[in-house]
Amino acid sequence: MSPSAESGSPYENITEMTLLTPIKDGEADELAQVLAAVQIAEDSPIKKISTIHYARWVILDEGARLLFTSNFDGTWEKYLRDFSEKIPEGLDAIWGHCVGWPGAQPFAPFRKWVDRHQVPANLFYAAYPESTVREVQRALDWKEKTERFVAELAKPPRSS
Amino acid sequence: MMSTDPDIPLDLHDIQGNIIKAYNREDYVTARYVLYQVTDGAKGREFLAELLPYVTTAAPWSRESAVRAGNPKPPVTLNIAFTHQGLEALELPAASLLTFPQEFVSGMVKRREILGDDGKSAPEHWDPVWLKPVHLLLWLNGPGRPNEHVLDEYHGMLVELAKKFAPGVECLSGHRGEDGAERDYQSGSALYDEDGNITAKEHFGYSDGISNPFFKGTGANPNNVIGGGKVTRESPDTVEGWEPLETGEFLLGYKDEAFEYPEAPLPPLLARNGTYLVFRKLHENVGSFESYLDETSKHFEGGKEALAAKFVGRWRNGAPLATHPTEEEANGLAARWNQAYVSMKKAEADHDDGAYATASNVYADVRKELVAFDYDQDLAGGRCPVGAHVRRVNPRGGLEFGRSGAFASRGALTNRRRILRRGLPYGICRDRSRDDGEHGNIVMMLVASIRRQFEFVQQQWMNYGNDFKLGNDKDPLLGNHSDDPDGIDGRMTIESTPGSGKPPFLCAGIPRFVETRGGAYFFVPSMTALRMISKALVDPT
Repeated sequence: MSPSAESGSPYENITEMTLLTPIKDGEADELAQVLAAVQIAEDSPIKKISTIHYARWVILDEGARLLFTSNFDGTWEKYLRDFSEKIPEGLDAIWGHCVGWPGAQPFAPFRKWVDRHQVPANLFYAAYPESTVREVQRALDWKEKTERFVAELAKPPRSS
Repeated sequence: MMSTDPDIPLDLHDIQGNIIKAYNREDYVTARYVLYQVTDGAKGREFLAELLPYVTTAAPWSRESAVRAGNPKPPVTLNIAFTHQGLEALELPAASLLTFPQEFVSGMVKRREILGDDGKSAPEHWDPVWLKPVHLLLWLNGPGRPNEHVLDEYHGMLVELAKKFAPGVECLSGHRGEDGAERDYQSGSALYDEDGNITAKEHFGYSDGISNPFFKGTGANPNNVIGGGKVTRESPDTVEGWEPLETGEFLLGYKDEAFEYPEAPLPPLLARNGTYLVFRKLHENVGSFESYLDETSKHFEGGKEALAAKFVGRWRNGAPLATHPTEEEANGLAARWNQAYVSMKKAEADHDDGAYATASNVYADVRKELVAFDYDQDLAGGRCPVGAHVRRVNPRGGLEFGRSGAFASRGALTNRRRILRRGLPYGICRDRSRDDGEHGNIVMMLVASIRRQFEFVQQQWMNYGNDFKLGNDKDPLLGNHSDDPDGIDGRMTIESTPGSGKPPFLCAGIPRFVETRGGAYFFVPSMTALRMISKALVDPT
């Protein structure tokens, strides 16, 4: 059976993606600089995709190939559409250094390119497959507020 | 299970004293810690050579009643340890210096972020001596009341002896004394009760130093493996419930729990039978501690003593909460413990070998009750809170969280984090309503790997709670709680008994009870290595 791009996860709500794409000759350094800039930017475009748990880009094989792995909430199709529609310039800035990149828009050729370069996972594990990034963030917010509330209640009177 | 070293006896004559057995258990209840700087390597080595005959080893002492030739108990013990800078000053070859682990080379001050030595624990607030070039630590242990002068005399002899090597070997001044003056030594002493009896207490009132790791080759009573070894899957109050730890967890040159020899300097003869010493001077904020307990326990069922017990996981009298959840049970155990100790000491003083043997056995049996437990009957923490001090620093198999068989061995996450604890309290707390004054603990921890054992426990288990499913909660007693009055740091959850229907008791706003006032990382070489260093015979090639 040929690996289907859309069957990347045994979980209902969480999907994984691994892309391995050839970098254009001599463009690896420039690509590295683009990625470094994204890393340190406070308004990193990645944050606009509120479904990404973890993502990483790794330049492999002495600049020959780019590895991208990501774990995200929702379906493969929706994830790609989010990317394509929300941050097409960001995608172009990165994968524009890869061979055959069709551009993040329009959607159909982009989807086809991703599908072609996707590597199926042999094992995908998620510790909390039922919880989305938004749920985790909301829980953390509650936790912080609860802790503050409890601290106010439980603190002994402040001695001065 | 892979095979490991057989339990061969260690060469106790080659190992420095206070490693295999704690001195304070042998009535050496006073101490002086003296630091030196070496500016002339040759003089430093001569100084060392002169000291060698007086260095105390781990060889067992003949009891006074045994008149046969042996190893008489010295009036005062002497031991020596070096910082990495010190070994450099003594002109160890660079090829050897380069083989020491990075954290030892860096030293305690540079590891401050890992150790959480921030705020009032930051090195800029330490006793000034620890910010000087500390090269050598000499420490003397001697008798307590009424013979403390003996220690004073020996210290005087050491001072005279050291003078012969100045300039080139300088005693460093700057240990803060009680009057605020800067002294040229740090003292330590066990605390006494109102009747003048020696206690095992520290200034917060807890009996300290009850549990210590038990490892292969020491020649100690095999029954002492209970509570001191590594947990098996058998019952914790039986010998089968424990196995001795591998020697290499505490001494260099022997296989450790990972079936390999610990990372050690070259040549092997320099490392073998040596170990690392983590020295910490920890001030205790007794006023903050007492007032926090007073205020918070107003709403706590069981009151102040029970709350103090929940912080630590032991009642202040030493009885473990895991097996002695009520104050009455705890007091009963403590009384029997004390009685057994008094009987044993009396038999010893009377030179009655028969009575001593009997009393020792009784004492060992009572002592077993203080250490023969784990947390499997108390997974929810209803007796001993999951975040209590002793449950953090020695989880005793508790990190399987009751999922028996979760790991290859029950202590898989614990066995490589064990620490031999030595040291004594220092100073006298004159006013229990105040934090200032000069009193606390001289904590001496012996480990084969400072990074893997001490630093890990300090960073992950004392100042963080993730491994115990406690988020960012810290050790209530020793955690470096923030000084920010509006912060939410300084929390502890005291779990209720499962099924009781009661809510947990929540402590918040816990101030920093303990502050670091000094310390360093030392290498404690074997007798052989001391000789090699003193004669410039260390050859790593």
